[in-house]
Amino acid sequence: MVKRHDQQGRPGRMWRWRGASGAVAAVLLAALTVVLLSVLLPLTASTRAAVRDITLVTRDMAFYLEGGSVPNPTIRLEPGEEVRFILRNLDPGIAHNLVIDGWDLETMSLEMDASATLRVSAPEQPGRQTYVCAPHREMMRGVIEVVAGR
Amino acid sequence: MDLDTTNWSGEGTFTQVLIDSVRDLHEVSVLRVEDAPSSRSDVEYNFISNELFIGFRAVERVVRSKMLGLVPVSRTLTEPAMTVTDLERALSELDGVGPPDYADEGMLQYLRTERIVPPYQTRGYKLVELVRVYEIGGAPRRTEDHG
Repeated sequence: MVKRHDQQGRPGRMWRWRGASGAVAAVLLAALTVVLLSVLLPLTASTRAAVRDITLVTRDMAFYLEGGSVPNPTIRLEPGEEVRFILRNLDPGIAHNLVIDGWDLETMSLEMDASATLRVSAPEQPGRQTYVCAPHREMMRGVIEVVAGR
Repeated sequence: MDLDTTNWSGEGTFTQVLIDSVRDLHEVSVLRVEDAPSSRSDVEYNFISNELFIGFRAVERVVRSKMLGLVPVSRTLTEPAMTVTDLERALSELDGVGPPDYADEGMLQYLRTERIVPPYQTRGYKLVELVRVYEIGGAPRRTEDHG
């Protein structure tokens, strides 16, 4: 440590490393920076897969994929896939909901033009689950298939 | 009254009740009955969806007024003898029909559900009949997929 004066002649202090100890400190600092960057940089990127939106509409006492014409369609998910089910009721005068019994998921009952969302993480194991509308489960019933490479 | 059932399979007990009731209304001039494309069935249910399109008789009404506030004039207006709202009221008073499950200015909707257990069977199936009534010229709601 040396004591010196600043440009205006006022006394000031600064630390200066000299010789072998300075070189060691610089190497250590560089190594620490590399380690920190290698740990922190990956964290700044999103590690989560994108969430897929699946919009189901209810009309004429059936579920349809938005824009689709197949009643109560089979929905295929990848194992572990993140999905957001959006349910929109287009049936005038009839309330509907979406229930996935096996995954213990359920939306509230929706009047016409109302919508609700269910966030789902598909299981890692392939399998099948039934989705229904609770008050009309005989006729509003479809299947969710969890399959690799859908 | 002109009744057209050429595009109707004839399925639906309540639909027949509605047809008979509408037939008796003097204000109705045309009734067209059609199967809706959403009709379908499976082991556990039979979903019958029908659509009734109704044309009302036109009536003339004379409206009297004064041109420039001085000269008495009369105009003859032609308008439907009934509206969908009037039809709802008329059908609601009938024992076999009653009020619709849903109604707006362009549509009446009736939903009838019953469980049918055929002889010698224990489980049966659910029979759902959905009937929508429109005035001719209105767009059927089945096309209203916003997607």
